Amino acid sequence: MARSVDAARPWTISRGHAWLLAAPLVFLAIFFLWPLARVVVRGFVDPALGLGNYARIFGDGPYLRVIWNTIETAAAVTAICLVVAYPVAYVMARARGAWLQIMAALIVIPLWTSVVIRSYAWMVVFQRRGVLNDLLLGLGLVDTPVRFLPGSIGVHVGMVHIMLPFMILPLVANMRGIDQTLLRAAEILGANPFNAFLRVFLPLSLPGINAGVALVFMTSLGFFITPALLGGPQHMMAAVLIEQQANVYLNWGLASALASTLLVVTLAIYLFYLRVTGGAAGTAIGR
Amino acid sequence: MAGGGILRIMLVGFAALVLGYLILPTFIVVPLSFSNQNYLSFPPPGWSTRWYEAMAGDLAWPQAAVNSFLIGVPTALLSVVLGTLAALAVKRGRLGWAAAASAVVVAPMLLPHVIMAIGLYPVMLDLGMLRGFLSVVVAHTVVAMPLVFITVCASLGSYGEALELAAMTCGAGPWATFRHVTFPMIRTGMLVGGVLAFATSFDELMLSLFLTGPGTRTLPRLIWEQLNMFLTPTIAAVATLIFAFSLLLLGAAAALQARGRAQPVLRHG
Amino acid sequence: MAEYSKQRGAGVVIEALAKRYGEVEALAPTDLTVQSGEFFSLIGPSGSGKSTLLGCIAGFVPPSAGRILVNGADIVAVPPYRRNIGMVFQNYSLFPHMSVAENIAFPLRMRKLPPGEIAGRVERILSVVRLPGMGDRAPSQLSGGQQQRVALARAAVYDPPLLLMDEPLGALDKNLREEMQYEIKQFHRAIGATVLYVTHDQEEAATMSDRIAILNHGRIEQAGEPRALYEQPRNAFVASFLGDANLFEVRRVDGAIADRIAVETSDGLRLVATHAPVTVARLVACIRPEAIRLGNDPERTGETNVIDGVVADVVHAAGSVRTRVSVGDRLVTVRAATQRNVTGWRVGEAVRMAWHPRDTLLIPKE
Ligand SMILES: Nc1ncnc2c1ncn2[C@@H]1O[C@H](COP(=O)(O)OP(=O)(O)O)[C@@H](O)[C@H]1O
Ligand SMILES: [Mg+2]
Repeated sequence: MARSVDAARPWTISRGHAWLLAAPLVFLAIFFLWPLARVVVRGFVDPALGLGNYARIFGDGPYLRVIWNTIETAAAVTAICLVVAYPVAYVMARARGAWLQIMAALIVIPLWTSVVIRSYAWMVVFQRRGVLNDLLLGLGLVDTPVRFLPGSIGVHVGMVHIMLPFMILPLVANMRGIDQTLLRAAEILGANPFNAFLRVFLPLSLPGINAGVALVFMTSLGFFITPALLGGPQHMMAAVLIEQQANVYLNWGLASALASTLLVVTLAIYLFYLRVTGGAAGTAIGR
Repeated sequence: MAGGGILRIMLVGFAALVLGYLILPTFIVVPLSFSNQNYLSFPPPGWSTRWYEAMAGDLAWPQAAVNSFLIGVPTALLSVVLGTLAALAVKRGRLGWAAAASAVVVAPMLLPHVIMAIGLYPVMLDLGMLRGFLSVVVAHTVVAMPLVFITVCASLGSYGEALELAAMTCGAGPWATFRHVTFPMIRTGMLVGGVLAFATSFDELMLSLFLTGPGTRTLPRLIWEQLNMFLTPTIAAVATLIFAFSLLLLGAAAALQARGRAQPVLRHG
Repeated sequence: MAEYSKQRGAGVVIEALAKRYGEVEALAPTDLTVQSGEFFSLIGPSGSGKSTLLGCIAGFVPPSAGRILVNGADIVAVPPYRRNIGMVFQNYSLFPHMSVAENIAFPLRMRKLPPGEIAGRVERILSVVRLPGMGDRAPSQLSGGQQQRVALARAAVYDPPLLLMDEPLGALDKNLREEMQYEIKQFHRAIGATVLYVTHDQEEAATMSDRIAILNHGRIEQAGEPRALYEQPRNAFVASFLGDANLFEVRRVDGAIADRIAVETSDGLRLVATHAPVTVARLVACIRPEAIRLGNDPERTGETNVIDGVVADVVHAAGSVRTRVSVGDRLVTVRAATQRNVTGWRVGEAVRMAWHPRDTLLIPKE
């Protein structure tokens, strides 16, 4: 019988498991953590050591406006998603059989459609001679085509379209777990349906709301394709600015400082997200 | 209750509207690709397949599609290996820092890709990998691995550790336990995770924008470049093909998952 | 594998075995000896450390201290797959992707037996567990009882000298459970392995086991033959866990005359016993429900313990009558075999309970 050298030490099942993490963690250390660290450092040293980049960002100017615009847009998109997704999730959580399948398909199919292509579709809708203008002209609501692009309407519509599934799915997952008998019990105890909803269902769905809100807000902060195609210079968001600074102006120091700022904000929300999903990272996104 | 009925109809109507909004872009892109006009009017005044012909005539498209596969397939494989390893360690190893480890593994999926892109660019430059296939594969794996991790974690969570302990008492060592018990149980999760990882790579733009060169240009990058230059229905034709392919992938993933569920899995094993 | 051979049951000696999870002492330092071929049960309330003890022996739970000797060799450092111990889990833990026959063949395959021999052994054990011809079924196509029999076959097909079972019948309903108890017992006789059996059902343990150990808060309170535990419980916990017991806290020992010891309980009752532990300060008196006789004849003789009360309720269960009598503000349970021609007591009726002094067990409270 094979014995370990140290016979007194009890055999443990988890002895080998830590080693399984070696490869993924080394990989992430080199290709994820190390690049992030370089971004943060570069923000302070390129082109010169110091806080120059941050002074440019937070000094009054266009960069700060982009950051505020990013946060504002992300917040607005999150709020719209929540308001729109909640009733849909409510209906879906009670749907059964074929209806549930159809609803799930209609939510998952866009999720599998390329983001670039979906933004392209919105360009077709919102452009000068696009679907929306045709409709408005046809209905006689306007006399000349409205100029939607570039602008904030397209950005919001496009971003909400992309983020909506990420709000609906955690909400549905949460709502399906809510015991309907609780609602009925509340109604029997004399609460009218509205009160029963407000005092029983809504608080119980809070974990789903938290998960969805954190997820959507965090992802919205980093949006690139939609604002780049539909927003233009008037409605610029952080990722677009960073890409432009690095790729077009070769201003890597400033890009890194902007990216670090974005990183800090997203990380804070990520930590919140981990808390509300009970540390089980990503469970709410399981498709 | 009449009020409840009206509220219900309103709710369902609203949900239908929202779902219509979600599917709308598809209903614009697909007809547009069969337009006979060279501007983007909708609905198209007439039908033709000229944009598909135009696409086929431009060698850049098939080249980009091939590149996307050459990047997507290795990304999926690497993601499956690394993501499964991480999931096994986190779900089955009794590590005190399992939550921290999974937070690190999942983070790349949720952080803005632009941060990773400008971080990876100089790293790849230093490693001499820039603009090669390997650099994009590695970068895509960083953001695609979390999907495998999540699906495999879910598979591992769907049955109890007792099954593996049972195998061990039967005399199966760690490797035999994995091969005969764990792997058959999580195979579906690994496959679905792999499909998701491929889909992520296939749709990824930001990292490709920084890390690919003319020889490794992917489909999203080519579409992106074209979008910034001229809006022709060629893109709609490409988009329609990509959409059809995505549906195929989605169908494959759904079928895999359905088969996984049909498997006799003990609820509380 | 070299260990593979037909062995009789293994002797198990556990020395100062302990397991802590941080602050929680799942298992206090424990000593236990199980004889070769014995059917030994561990019982105790949920969380008392039964699974922890079994897990240490199986190898899933690394003990914090102590030794586990199987046939004299310490196995603590041996991985579970080399311990050659059979284990049956509460939820069967059959491999869902393998057929019944593949499940049972699995341990034999791991031992690299020739395919022909594997097939023969699987056939044989399938008939022992009364599932002949079911080898091609998927586990999910079987009933709970059948799945449990497959689990039993899988754990025993390689003739392990020690078989561990952790609440194997916990998921079955009562009728099936009783049938399976009998079958497991038969099976034990057939294979001759030592069996360590965990259950929280004291009746199950009493009917099946040669000996029982009662665990509470990670400690073995008492170990011994079922009858000895019932008749001579070491403390109030054992008395109340194994069978029904009427427990009275003893306030004062009044003194002993010959072999009669008189005590006064905290509810003011005077009881007489024959034995009392000498050194223990806090005692309880334990009277088993079937030791008490009910009557309304105040002149009955021969019984030194007499308490009057009022019938509070009467329950007829299979073969016996359970009467609860209220005395002051507590209830005393009395059980008697159902007799024909004897109508039970009516609720509210005054009644006298009497029992022999030797049925008053004076035992330590802790
Ligand atoms: N993995 C663990 N981590 C922490 N505490 C545990 C663990 N396993 C068991 N315990 C604790 O050890 C005690 C004994 O548990 P267990 O042996 O499972 O009891 P039983 O099988 O008798 O119900 C319980 O208090 C339980 O909460
Ligand atoms: Mg237990």
